[in-house]
Amino acid sequence: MLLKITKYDILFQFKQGFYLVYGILSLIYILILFNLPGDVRTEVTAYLILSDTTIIGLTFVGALVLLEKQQNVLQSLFITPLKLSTYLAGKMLSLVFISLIVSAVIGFIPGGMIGNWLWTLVAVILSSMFFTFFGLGISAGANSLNDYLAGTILGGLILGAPVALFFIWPEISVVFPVNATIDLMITPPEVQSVKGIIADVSVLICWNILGYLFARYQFKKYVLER
Amino acid sequence: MIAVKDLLFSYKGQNLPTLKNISFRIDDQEIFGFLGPSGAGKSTTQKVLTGVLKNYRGSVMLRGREVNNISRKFYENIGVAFEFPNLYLKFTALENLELFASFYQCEKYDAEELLQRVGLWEDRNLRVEAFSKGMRMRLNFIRSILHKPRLLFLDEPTAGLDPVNARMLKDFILELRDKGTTVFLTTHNMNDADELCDRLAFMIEGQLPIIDTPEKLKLQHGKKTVKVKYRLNGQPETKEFELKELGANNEFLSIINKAEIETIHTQEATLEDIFIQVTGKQLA
Repeated sequence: MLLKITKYDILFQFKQGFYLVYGILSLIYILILFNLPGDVRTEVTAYLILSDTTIIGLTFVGALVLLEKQQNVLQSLFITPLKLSTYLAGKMLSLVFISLIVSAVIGFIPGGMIGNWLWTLVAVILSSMFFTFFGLGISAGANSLNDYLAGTILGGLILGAPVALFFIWPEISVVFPVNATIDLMITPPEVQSVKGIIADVSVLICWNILGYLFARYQFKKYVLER
Repeated sequence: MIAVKDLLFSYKGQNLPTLKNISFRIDDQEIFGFLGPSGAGKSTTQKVLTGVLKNYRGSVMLRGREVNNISRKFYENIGVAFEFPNLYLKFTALENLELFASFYQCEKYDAEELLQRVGLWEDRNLRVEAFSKGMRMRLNFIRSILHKPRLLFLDEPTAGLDPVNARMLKDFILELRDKGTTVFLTTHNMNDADELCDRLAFMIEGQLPIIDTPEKLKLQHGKKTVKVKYRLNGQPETKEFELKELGANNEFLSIINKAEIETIHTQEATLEDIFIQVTGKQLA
């Protein structure tokens, strides 16, 4: 059932034009990266991949759920044997899939990525998963795009604050998902320590558990029991 | 199949309960109609029965199990068609059916056969956004029965359908009942209720003042008279006679024998008349 719902989620995103938007964005990213000097390309690539999995991913997951709400399909989905966990996992897998493709395209083609590809891949998967769960949670309680944007901006401020914190209190900032993701992506393989990797991955896994529980709670409260 | 006893339900933040100690029973292979004006509590009852709203008081048993304790697997037995079609608009009719079919493990109808049955075969590869209201309603209906549910919840199933398709759908519902499906039908449409339902419940302000068969209701609440419209010497006339000993009523017999009869009707009450009489409310 999970594979089927993921397939239909991808089809839904394709038919709603999400893939076209992603294609155009990727092209813009690539053009920007090709025109950057080699020494800043790595960092900019990492931030673009991060923005793809966070800002763009968040916008798309919100749009996805709001479109389902608008078409009243959520009501029908949850009076079938479909489990909430399967529904959430389907959304997550479909968005991780597209994030991976876009990340690979903008990371490989302009040749900006110098970090370890395995850990970049892990970072993309884990951060995309977290931001999808976070977006699902916000969108469950939102009735309009304005509601959703207000929720994500507030959440984004809390989750994005550590970027600034990084310069003031770097030890604390690493417990936030954005920094853990960046750290995994831009640290060159020769500098990357096992301890550092375990710490970053653990931080992202913890955020994923919180994100999943948040999405589940929100869907139960605002969709299932409404 | 369904046994509801002293069901009380209140939405959070509301002082008065929406459902006030209602009790009813629906037998296997029965079409049970729920009639009432908007806001009476029909949708809330359906939500409780389908396990969407769980914080109720009283008992709601579905096939021997309390609704509060049903698992997702139980939904293999339940089909629901809401009043407003809930379909993926960018998907084709066939894609919508295939997606929903993938949620069920049980034996299913062939989606293509169902599409043919309701006259949507030619449009199976058309996006639902291009469908008319009637086409969406028909697709919504077959989506709800795709997995051969034992218990089917229908909310205004013929709304927006032309008379031919409404007839087709009603025949389909009756056929499902005859094959073993129990149907919980919510409607404002008195003709649908009269034609389809084995029993009816009138819901008003969260209560069920009456539950009975349409025939008994019409007999109990109707006038036992017959109205004759006729022409005598070219002049139109109307007369009403008691049904009791009608065959011995000389005036009635004289009219039948001598006048040119235009119409002759018994005056049983319509369901709408009965609803207004019992509840003091209009159905709207």
